[in-house]
Amino acid sequence: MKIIFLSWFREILRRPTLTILSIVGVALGIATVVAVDIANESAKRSFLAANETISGSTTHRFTGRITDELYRHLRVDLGLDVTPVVEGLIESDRSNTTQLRLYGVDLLAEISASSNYAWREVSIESAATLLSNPFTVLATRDTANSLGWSVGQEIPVSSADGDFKLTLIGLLEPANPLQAQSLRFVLLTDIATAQSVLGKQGYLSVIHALFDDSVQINSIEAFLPDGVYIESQIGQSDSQAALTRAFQINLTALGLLAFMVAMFLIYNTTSFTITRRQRHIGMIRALGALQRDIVLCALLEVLIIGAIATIIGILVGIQLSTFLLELVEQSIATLYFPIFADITVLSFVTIVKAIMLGIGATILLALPAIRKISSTAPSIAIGRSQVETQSTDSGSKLFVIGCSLAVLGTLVLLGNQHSIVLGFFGIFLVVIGYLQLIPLMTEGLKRLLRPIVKRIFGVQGVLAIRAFSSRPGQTSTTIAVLCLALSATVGVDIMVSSFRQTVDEWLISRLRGDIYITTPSQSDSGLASVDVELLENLEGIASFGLAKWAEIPDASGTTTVFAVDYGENAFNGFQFKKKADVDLWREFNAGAAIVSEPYAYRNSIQIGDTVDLFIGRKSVQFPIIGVFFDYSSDQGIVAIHRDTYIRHFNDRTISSAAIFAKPETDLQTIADTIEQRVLTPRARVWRNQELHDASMQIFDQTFAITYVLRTLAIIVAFVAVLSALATLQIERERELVVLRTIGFTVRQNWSIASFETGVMGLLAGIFSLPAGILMAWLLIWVIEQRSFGWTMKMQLDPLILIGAVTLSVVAALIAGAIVTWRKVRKVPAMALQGMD
Amino acid sequence: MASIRPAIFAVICVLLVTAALWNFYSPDPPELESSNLSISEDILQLDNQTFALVRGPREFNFPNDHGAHLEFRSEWWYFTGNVFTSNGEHYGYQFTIFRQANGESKIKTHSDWESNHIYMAHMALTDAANNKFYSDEIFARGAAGLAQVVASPFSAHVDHWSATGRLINDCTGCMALNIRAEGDGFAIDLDLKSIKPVVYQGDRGFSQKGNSPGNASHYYSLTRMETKGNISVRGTIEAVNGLSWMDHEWSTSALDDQLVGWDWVSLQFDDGRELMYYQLRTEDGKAFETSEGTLVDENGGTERLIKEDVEFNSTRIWTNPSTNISYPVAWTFQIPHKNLSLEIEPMIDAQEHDNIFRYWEGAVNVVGMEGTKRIVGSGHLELVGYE
Repeated sequence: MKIIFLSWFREILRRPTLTILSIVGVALGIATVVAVDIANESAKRSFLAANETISGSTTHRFTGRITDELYRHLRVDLGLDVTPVVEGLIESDRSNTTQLRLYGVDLLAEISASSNYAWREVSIESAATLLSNPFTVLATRDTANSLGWSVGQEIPVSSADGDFKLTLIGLLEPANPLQAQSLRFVLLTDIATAQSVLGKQGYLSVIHALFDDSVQINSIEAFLPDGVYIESQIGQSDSQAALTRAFQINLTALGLLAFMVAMFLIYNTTSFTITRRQRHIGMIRALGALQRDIVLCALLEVLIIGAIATIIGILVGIQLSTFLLELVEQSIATLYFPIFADITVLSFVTIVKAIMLGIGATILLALPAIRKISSTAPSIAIGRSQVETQSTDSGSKLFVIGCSLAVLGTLVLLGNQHSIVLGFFGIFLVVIGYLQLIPLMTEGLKRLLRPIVKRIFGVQGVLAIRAFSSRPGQTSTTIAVLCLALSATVGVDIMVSSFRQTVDEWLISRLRGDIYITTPSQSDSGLASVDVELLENLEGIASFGLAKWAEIPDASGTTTVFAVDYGENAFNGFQFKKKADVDLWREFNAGAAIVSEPYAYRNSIQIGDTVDLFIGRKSVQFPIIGVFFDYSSDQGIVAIHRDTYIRHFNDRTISSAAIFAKPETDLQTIADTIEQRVLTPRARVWRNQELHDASMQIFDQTFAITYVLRTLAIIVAFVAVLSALATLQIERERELVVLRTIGFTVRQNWSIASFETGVMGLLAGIFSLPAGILMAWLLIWVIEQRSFGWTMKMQLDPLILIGAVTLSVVAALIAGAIVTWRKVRKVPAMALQGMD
Repeated sequence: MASIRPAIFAVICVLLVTAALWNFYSPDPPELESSNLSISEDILQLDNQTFALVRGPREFNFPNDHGAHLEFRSEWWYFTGNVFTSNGEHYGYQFTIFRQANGESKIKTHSDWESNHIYMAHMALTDAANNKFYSDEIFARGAAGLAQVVASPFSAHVDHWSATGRLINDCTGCMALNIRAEGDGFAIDLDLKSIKPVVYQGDRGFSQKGNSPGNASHYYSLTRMETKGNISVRGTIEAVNGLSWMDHEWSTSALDDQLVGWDWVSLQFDDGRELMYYQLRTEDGKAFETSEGTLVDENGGTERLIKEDVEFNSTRIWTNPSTNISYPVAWTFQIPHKNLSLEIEPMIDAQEHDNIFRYWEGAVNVVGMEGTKRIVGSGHLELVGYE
């Protein structure tokens, strides 16, 4: 037995390249899965930790227009366990990365509270110091360092309310890395300072509360003034986590895609590594090795490959994850709100997953080949004829399997209209089903190509085509691997480019104003009235409109309301998916609402339904007359006329203004004038094009990670093709040598080999197009609709399709060139004898 | 060819080891290992000169002097008492409001939350029958209506812990009060009514603590207040009756540098008399020369006791196993020239306030002899500055 093992593993050392390639391929696949897993998990943790650190483990929170007096009443008169927060974003010249979050708390209340607040560990002396020294703050060392801020130093900051100077009087020392990251760019201060800097004197942003069962929420709600709401915290963090879930599922799916490619690679390489041994196996069996010994040796080899690849995969994955995490962070920040996920969380589950995939899947995928080789009689194995020829699944059998999988996938897709996970599962089934058809299609195309090739390339071309058709199983697996990776690329590219185009068109249609003024969303006061007067009196302006973005409570939380009065022309910029058969503009003016597509999707809303919003404890119904396309929020928005909004909510503040210039006026001059004269702090003036470009930039940032994962899948595929071709070429070696001996030159052999791989690349490229388009269509139809509620128009960019085919051919040629480099130069006599 | 293979394996091995080291042996930044949040305070310079100093006796004026004296840095309103259920079960309680001011900042925020006065309230309940001691503390700023003390009508509160009341007509400074507070697992709701006049401690309420001028306080007491109401422990409410003692004291600077703490005792005897005595301790554990007290007779007449008049010695040490701090919890107190000898024993030993401010304060029983007359009573003992 020992001798059999030695002999077996000696054989590995004889050809290490293939083994190394299989390890690299599997490792890359695992690395991708691990990296995506870590990035997802870390992002989620920091997301939840950020909430937890700041609000502690509270049960409820009060939001809305909270006065100091309401807080006093809750804490002093009712003796409830509540703590106040005044928070907002401020800017510092020192921070080139992001805004700072000024977080005002009453540390004395936090210390007194019985609940487990994050600041509980702050010493009473620190609390007293902060309290007695206005305009002082605490920050973590990280934050201070990134601002170049040392203790005792004063730095200027600006808020929506003006310019201030804050002094860092001490460093927060977080208890753990999670807390450290959630405190990044947070300046902790006393509530008095926060009120003053943020211009919120007399008001609080939030009251956190820890209520036990004895507290009657109903009785508290009964005395809450209009505009103040109490909500359960427990549900809150769940729904916030759900925000990112859709995003994370998208990532996971892309990671799995990369792994699926890797699995094909594993299947490919294991079957090659084993079949290439047929001669060796035949020999050792002839020498007395048992079938059992062969199976054991083969299993052990696969196990070792799987184990090494798993270890490398996990290590590489950890490295890769830090890079991915940055992108995830960026996307979440763009889509939702800033998180700082610096800590990579390598969970036990991730490791188990990697081991299961790396070792489990590898062994599983190797089993068919092992079974085949071990059952081959020694005499056949030793003989020169190919094992391959006698044992591939017939095309028709694969056709049946493929069609069944595709049908099953379609059924899954149709069966459940809302689940994202099932959506992906369905897509995978359909795509895998399609891949089963590749041998059949290869055969068909080959027949089609042969006469053409013969005419153009002569005997070399025919030899090349014949060469790979003599091993249909191996060639089609290689083609399938490349095809899968390419179709993923094509699918993702088409999806993203369609989305990009849709958003681009939407922006152009929606942004009808020539110039926009926007104010920071945290500013309560909005655009100052003097600035509205400025617009009224400015030359060159034909008209202008005002709008307000507001968060209004509804039955289940809050609704984003866009109260707009940009005029009829701008209203026509709304593109409707569905609309009532009425004069929309007139009804909109009269008090009706239109809702965005995600809003309608999330709330299952039809034309004729109503939007229920709360004013105090009363609810008001707004009839819905249209569902418009909108890509600004995946949570959905409700648009009403600003007059309607003012009538119901009595709020005249302005978030933004759209300015329509007179024809033939110089927009830049007007924009510059407004910019110079506008008085609202931190108001921004945008020309139409700038706003459009900024929005598209955000879009591209969001999808940066998608491109990265797609590239990873291609790299894995490239390795897969490389290894597949390497094995193929090892078997082809003899044929090429025979060709050399009968007079073919090195150059001719080279071109036969290149032609062969080139054709494989071409076929993979061609096959990937329908699969890619199918995948894009499914992604758009299933995932984006389900995750975000967005409809996208699919756009087929010919460049993407041509690019995919080119990529495929080039990749195959490069891979072919690498593996045939040595082979074609071999001295015929040595190679014929099977010597290296 | 033969030489390349080992090289490939070597490279893989090196890569593996590097990757492993990179990930698993990179130390965390040191600042993350600390387990709490703290700030460095040496950079702050507060204006401490703005507070008034206690330099001599003053004319007390009620109800105003029941309120806060914001011109002084520190102030406290102390309520302690011993109450009994109808079954004779004995409970001791303490309810205290402290005010501490920091120097005022010259910059203003124009927020109603701004304040340089920090209020702290402590409450405690000793359940002798079950050998249990409960204590809790809360903090609030002297702004935004969260904590304040108003003289008339008397109202002192920190968050929802409060003492409210009014003057009683027939005696200057006498008060009827309600104390209401709810701590972690226990609560008190007691009505107090003074039945003896105000006692001015020290020299007409001027209590010299250290040798330096200004190291003194203004200090008066309501030494006997009838008390009735309810206490609740772990959800069980008990009606109780008994006696309480109120102290009100304010100062800016009290202790000299060499003083490390004090032992303070207030006793109410069944014969209608009261005794207060404190000794200030120096670093070597000795009683400081300004230690003093007051013996109050049945009618409210007072006799000042100075250090030389008394022998105040501890007889038993108790160590809290969880904090490892030792306190002298049992004492003898003698006034040789009156032939008075008392033995003071805590209701239970474990009456340490194990909160942010850690000290021992609890209910005590007292028995003794004055000549041949037997004396019985109860009171409170406070031990501060032990480490």
